[in-house]
Amino acid sequence: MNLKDLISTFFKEENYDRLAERVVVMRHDGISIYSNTDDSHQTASIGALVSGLWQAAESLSSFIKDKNNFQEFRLSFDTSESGLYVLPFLVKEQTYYLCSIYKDVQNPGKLKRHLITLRSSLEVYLSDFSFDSEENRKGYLFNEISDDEMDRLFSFGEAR
Amino acid sequence: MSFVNYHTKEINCKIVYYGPGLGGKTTNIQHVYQKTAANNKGQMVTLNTENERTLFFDFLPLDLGNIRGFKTRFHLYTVPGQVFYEASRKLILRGVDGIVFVADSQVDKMEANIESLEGLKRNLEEQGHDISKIPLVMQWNKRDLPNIVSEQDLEDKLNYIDCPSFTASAITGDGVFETLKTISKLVLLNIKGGLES
Repeated sequence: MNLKDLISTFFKEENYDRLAERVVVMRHDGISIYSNTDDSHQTASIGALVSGLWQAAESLSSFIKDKNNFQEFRLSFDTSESGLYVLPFLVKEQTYYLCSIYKDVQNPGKLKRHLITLRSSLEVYLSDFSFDSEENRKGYLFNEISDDEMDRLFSFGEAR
Repeated sequence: MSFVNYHTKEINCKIVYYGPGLGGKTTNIQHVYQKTAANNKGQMVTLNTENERTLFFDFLPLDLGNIRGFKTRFHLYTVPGQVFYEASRKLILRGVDGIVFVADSQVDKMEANIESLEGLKRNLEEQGHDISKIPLVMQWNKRDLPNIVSEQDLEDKLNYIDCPSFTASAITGDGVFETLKTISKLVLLNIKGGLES
């Protein structure tokens, strides 16, 4: 099973996908690999924004003297009942983010503690995952692409 | 870095529009957004200053359709062009798969073009990329304006690595899709990891 399917199974098996309004898991470059909703375009925007937000915050954290490893940081933007909460986690030394967007929550502190536990469980769940099968792939995905194929890809826009 | 899901047959790639301030990077992806059917695109995200200059980045997710059974999604980003946003530009270049360098063709912008291209080379090197090896397309923008330098001059001064180049007027849309189509092809051809393990 690949990483995307594995994470999806993890969330659905325990109903973790219902924890918050939006739960999204993304790579460090913002590409989402799991979302608890079907709106892929909105999920893509969340991925880009959260990745940018985290990277900017991470750069700012260089001004903190004697700071801990940035993996220990959490990113929170919230009111007393709604907000955004982002936690980093590692899969085979690669950074991913667990992002939740919540609203009308009576006890956000409890939700955040739950998410921290969830992050730990996810790391354990994925600890046996191996990227090997994909890393071992040789060569390039496409050795050549014809102009006709590119024209078909862009048939929605002006380029013909 | 591109992300290929071989199981679900999905490809995700990141293209960054880079160049000097007010060169037309945002206008490029605005045109793509305007000319793309609703089901092929997501919401265009813009993080602007009050006077509509790019503060952090613009972002447009674009679903191109299928190529040999793979569903392709391109994530288009622009960087802020203003000189003092160098730190933001470095962040946005992380994980980049291909770059469109949008140069301003006006005579008095040549120095800004050169400075921006040098910055791109430097920022790529910091991330372990070689500007001559990463998919890159040059766009000579604002060809509709008076007082512009010749194409040959732009080629001589900016395109020293001899990558594909296009003249454009992003405000009218001329050259916008041609540029995007070419960088998309270069990026797709550069995805590592064949179907055979």
